[in-house]
This record gives sequence, structure tokens and C-alpha cells, in this order.
Amino acid sequence: MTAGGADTGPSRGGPRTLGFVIVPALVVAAVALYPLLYNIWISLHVNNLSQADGEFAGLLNYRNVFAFDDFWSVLRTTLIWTLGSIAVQFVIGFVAALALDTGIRGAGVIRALLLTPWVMPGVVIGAVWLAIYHPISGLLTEVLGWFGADGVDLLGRSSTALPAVIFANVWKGFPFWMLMISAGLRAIPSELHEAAAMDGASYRQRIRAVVLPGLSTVLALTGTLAFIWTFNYFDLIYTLTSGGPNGATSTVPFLIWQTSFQFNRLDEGAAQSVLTFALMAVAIGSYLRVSKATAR
Amino acid sequence: MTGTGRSGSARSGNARSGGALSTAAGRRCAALVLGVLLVFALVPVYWMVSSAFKTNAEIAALAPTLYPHHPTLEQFRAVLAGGALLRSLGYSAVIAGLTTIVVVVLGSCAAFAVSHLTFRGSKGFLIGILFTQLLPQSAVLVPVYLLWNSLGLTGTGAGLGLVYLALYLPVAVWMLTGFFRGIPLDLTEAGRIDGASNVRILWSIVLPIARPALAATAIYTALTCWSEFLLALVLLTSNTTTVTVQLAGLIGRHDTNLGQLMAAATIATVPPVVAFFALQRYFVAGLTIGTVKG
Repeated sequence: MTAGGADTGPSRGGPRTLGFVIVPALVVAAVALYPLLYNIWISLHVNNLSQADGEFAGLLNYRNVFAFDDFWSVLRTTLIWTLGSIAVQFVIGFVAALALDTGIRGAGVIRALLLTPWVMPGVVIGAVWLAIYHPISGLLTEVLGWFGADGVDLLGRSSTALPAVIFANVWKGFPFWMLMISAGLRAIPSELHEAAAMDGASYRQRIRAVVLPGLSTVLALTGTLAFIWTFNYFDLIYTLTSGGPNGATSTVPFLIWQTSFQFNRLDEGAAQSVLTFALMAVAIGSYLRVSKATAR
Repeated sequence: MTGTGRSGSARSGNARSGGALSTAAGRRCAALVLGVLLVFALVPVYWMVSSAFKTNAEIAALAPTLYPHHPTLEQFRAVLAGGALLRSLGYSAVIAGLTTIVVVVLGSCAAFAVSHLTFRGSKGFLIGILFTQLLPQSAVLVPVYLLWNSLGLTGTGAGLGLVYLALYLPVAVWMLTGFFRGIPLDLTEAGRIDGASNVRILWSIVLPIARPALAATAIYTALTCWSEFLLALVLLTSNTTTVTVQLAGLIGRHDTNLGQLMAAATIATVPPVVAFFALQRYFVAGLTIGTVKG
């Protein structure tokens, strides 16, 4: 893999290079390939702590996933959770980054403070919002009470549970967008702003004509990463609602965990994982297409 | 949200100056927006900390109090009693620390090779690394659990650390490569002409320059390990767990003691937040460099 390249470079490379990358290369191969292949194998066999473990099952597990696990409705919930979180995180992160970019005094300190939610562990954030949403002594419950809505159990009602969990996730995730967009803003040449200002462009026009196009690479990358991370984010669902009430907040990773480790259906959990892999491949594929299109 | 809308329609848009919105009016607008966002970002944190210092009676009161009227350490005492939380803190610290060291060492080697030793397949290697980033963690769960079970690695810190190593090493290589690329090839070539070995070049030329990058990568890896929950939940047993699993264990469906939960949450937050604020300058730069350029 590396030794062949030794002669082409000027005294670089060579067999010794192998030593520097062999472990990471193996790790990458192991992380990328092994779970995918093993998952497929598990999903085609029986594995549910029964006598029949290890027998070939064909596509039975996949059939069960679609027949009994409400996979489509869980997938729908997951997409609402993911896209809803990302959209609001983007808007808040974008506004924050623009505000920080004005040369306001103390921008560094403010940015660090705004990053606090993102640095906190997900389980801690779940605990915090559990307290804020608490139907009796929660802060938000009290605030809602001022407007005449007494003792609302936001997490306990199917209609409000998902928005409430999304809101907590927006709180956690908007700083990441802010950070990435801030970095992207700095990469936009100031001549572009000057030229636009010279042409008498309003602030809004400049955002549309200079800032957003200048951010397209960063936004595509951040959007893809955020999509995959949010899609797979387990901690908040587990701590805030455990997928409830009545499955209203059950997302794909929660379903995989529940199927595999609460119901001991590791085979069906593997089938769900394989389906998730396939979905992610589509997401990655569309990112590559978008990034190629914008590069052109 | 009203604050954000206003900033968009601000008259300051007609500004002539360079950067977007860098006028006095624009800055006033920005100050308003940032003020609102700071409240949004920090009130929940304040709520956690202040609740941790309230008595049970005060927390259960129908009208929540803005600050602890009778500040007490009773919640901290209760949640630390028995030592399980302390043990899990130590456990998390050891796993995060050791994983971080190994990740930074192996990551530096790989990033050095990719950025300064051209080798066939280096591009494929980097693409493979990006690819692992895009894989869903929940989908790794079942195969890793089954394999670790058959290897006897479930329930051990080493087993969990190995999974973290596999998951976070690619990120570290990506971040470090972004930095190492900024180090001129002339510098490492000069070392080579002096007869230095690759290891020596990495150690005495590259790493000293890359100290901020190492700090950023280390803190990112340590924070991620400290915060990780799902794999720890699945791969560890209940008597030796990490702090996140211990914390989640305090959440009951109907009988959660909010005061104790907030005290434990505060304790679990202190290490990452302190580490972050101490090193945030490196952190912010390190996290975005590879992404904006790549």
C-alpha cells in the first residue's frame, strides 16, 4: 500500500511510513467495514437469546421490523426531530455568528459563553431540561403558568413531547452551527463586502448575494455532519422521554437500543441498523453531490 | 426570536464599511441579539446550579424560586453518599484520559504521514476517515456488543476505551491533518537533510509547532469520551460505570429527586466546562480549521 510509492517521492515515503499509519488505517477499516458486514450477517440470522440462535433466518428479521416495530412511523419521527433541530439550530447559529462578526467588544468571551451548552454532556442536558419541563416545579412550566397554562406536562403529552425534546436539542446544538458559520464568515474576503456596499446593496441583499454563497461549502458540510449526528443522537431521547409517551418521541437509535437490549432482539436491532446504514449512505451521497455542484 | 428578526431589517444595512454590519447601529443590534442568546444559553445552566443548592421543600414548592432561599449542600451530600458517583467520576476520568493520550499519539503519527510523507493511498486513507465520521454510532452498537461479549471485553473499561479509540481516532487524524498541512514541507525536508529520522522530525520539528492543535484535539477527544453515554450504557455493568450512566440512573420515571439530580448534573458538568474554558482558544481554532479549508 505504501512501499510502492517510495520511489516516486523525493526520499519520502518508504516502508517506514507504514508504521505511522498502520494502526489508524486498521482502525478506520475496522470501524467502517466490520460493523457493516457483521451487522448484515447478524440481521440474516436468529439472535434473540433463544435456542434457535445462529440459524439462518433469511429476510425474516427485516419483515418483522416493518411489520411490528412501527419502523416507518419511527423513521418519520426521526426525520422531524432531525430536520426540525437542524433548521432552528442553523437559524440561531447563523444570527449568532453574524452578530459576533460585527466587531462587537467582548466577542471572544461571548462566543465562549454561548458554547457552554454544546460542551455539556448530553445526559446532563437531559437532566437540566427534565427539571425545566417538570410539570410541578419546572421553570418553563411556571412561565407558561403566567400566561394561563397551568401545570402543563410538556414531556408527558404526545402532542408537545417531540417539540419539547427538539427545543432542548436546539439549545444543545446551535453553538456548533455558530462556531462553523463564524469560521466560514472569516473566510469570506472583505473586498466582496466592500464591493457590495459600494453598489449600495442593503444588509439583506448582502446576506443573500455575498454571505450565503460564501458559506455554501461550510453549510453543506455542517449540515451533513449535523444531520448524521442529530439523526443518531440518543442521550436526550433516553433521558427526557424514553421514547414516550406512546412512542411519540421514539427515534431510530432509540428503537435500535430498545429492540436489541430491552427486548433482546439483537437480530432485529441489526436489521434496523443495516437500514440506517443504507439511509446514511443516501445522505452522504447527496452531500457529495451538493459539494461537487457548489465546487463547480 | 423577535430580536433576530429585527437585526435582519436593521437600517444599518446601508453601511459603507467592510465587514457585514460593522457600524455603530449594527453593533447595537448585535448586542441586543447576543444578549437574548446569552440568556437563552445560560438560564438553563443557572437553573441547574441554583436548583442543586435548594432544599427538597423549596424545589417541590408550587412556585419555583429564582434563587436558593436557604442555600444548602444537602443535595450534594446525598448524591455523593455511598461513593458510587465519585467512583464513576474517577472511572470516566481514567477512560477519557487514557483514550485521549492514545488517540493523540496515534493521530499525530497518522496526520504526519498524511501531510508530510507522501505515500500511495494517502488520499484514500483520508476519504476513509471522513467516511467513518459519517457512519451512525447506533448502528455500530449490536456488532460491537456481540464481538466484545465473545472476547470477554464487555464490562471492562479497556473494552469501552477500545471502542472510543476506534470511534474518535479518525476525528483526531482529520483535525490534526488540517493543522499539520499548514507546517511548511521545507521545515521537515530540512530536518531530513540533516539526517533526522521520521520519528525525530515528528517529535522535534512538527509537534512543538503543533502544540495548539494537539491541545485542541486532546480536549475535543476528552470531552467526547466524558460525555459518551450509549456505548457506556450497553457495554458496562451497573457496578462499574461512567458518570453519564450513573447520572442517567438517577432519573426515574415518576420518582426522580430533582435536587439530587441537579447536584449530580452540576458535578458531572464541572470537569468538561472548566477544561473547555481553560483551553477554548485552541479548541475553537482547532475544530474549524480542517473543515473550512477541506
